[in-house]
Amino acid sequence: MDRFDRNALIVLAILAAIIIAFYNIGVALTRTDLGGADDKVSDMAQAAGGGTPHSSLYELSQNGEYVGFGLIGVIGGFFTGYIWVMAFDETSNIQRDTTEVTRHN
Amino acid sequence: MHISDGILSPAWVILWWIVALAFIVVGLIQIRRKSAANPGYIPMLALMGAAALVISVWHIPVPVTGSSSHPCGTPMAAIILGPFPVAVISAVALFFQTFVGHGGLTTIGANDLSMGIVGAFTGYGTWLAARKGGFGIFIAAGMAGFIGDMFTYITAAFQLAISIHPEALLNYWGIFMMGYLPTQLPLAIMEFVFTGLVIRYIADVRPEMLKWAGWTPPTVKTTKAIGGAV
Repeated sequence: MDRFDRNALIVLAILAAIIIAFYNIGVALTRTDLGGADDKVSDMAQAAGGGTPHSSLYELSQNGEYVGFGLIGVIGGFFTGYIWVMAFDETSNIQRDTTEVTRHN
Repeated sequence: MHISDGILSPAWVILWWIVALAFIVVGLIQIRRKSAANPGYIPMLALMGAAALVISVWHIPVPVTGSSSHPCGTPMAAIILGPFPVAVISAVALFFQTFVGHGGLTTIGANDLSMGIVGAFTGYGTWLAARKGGFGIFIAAGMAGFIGDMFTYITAAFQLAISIHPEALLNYWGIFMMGYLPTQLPLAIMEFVFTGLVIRYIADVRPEMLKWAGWTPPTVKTTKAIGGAV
């Protein structure tokens, strides 16, 4: 495992731990399910006289949302990781501009 | 700030689409020009697009407010790609997010305006102003992330207020902002940190990428910067 892989895994573990901790603290403090702020504001908008929020495609169940969001995260994450290596690896084929590499503060 | 279908009036849905499309067209032209000049631009465009997709579905619980929300990622992308191309990648990300019920299909224009346009331009403008003001890269990029994030949600609140109650715009703008901002403020601080770290990393490893968006680093190598070389 190289340094990049190790650092990425450490970041992953820390973020996951933070999110799990925040969720449990939030549920204990507020006794709510910590739903999205977007949904809460949508409900506020509807109550204020806006239209009924809905999906033009299909409505996902709660579990469907978990799967869908997870899938987007996985796919986007794989894209990000693959292209990150391509963009920043020293041996990448991406043309480098070496004429004016200036370290600056 | 992902506004669902059905909330905004049709007239405003169409107007936001027209505004967003204007920026998207300019963004596509700029993408074509920048990718011809820099072969590495397209991979970074794809990287930032994927990052914006993930970051803006990344619901993070905020314990004290009882809700969760997500950062934007578009200010970070604007610093590297330029603000107009971010309108394009943001629209693509929003399109895919409709398939998981995160934002509406008809409101892609409105959501792109708040996240991909206002978020990108305010973030990019903050970056330029902070760098010109002598702030270090981490602080300048962090400020860009924070300001861009905040203005995204301020814009979304404005879009709701002007569509639903234009006669009491300021009043309802404030109400909807209070719906978003308490949860969003800690996440904007988080966006400050990760935007600063990513841009700092790029400045160390591939500093030439920061010129793609039109920002020219100072030629004096030892410029003293406020905030230090974090």
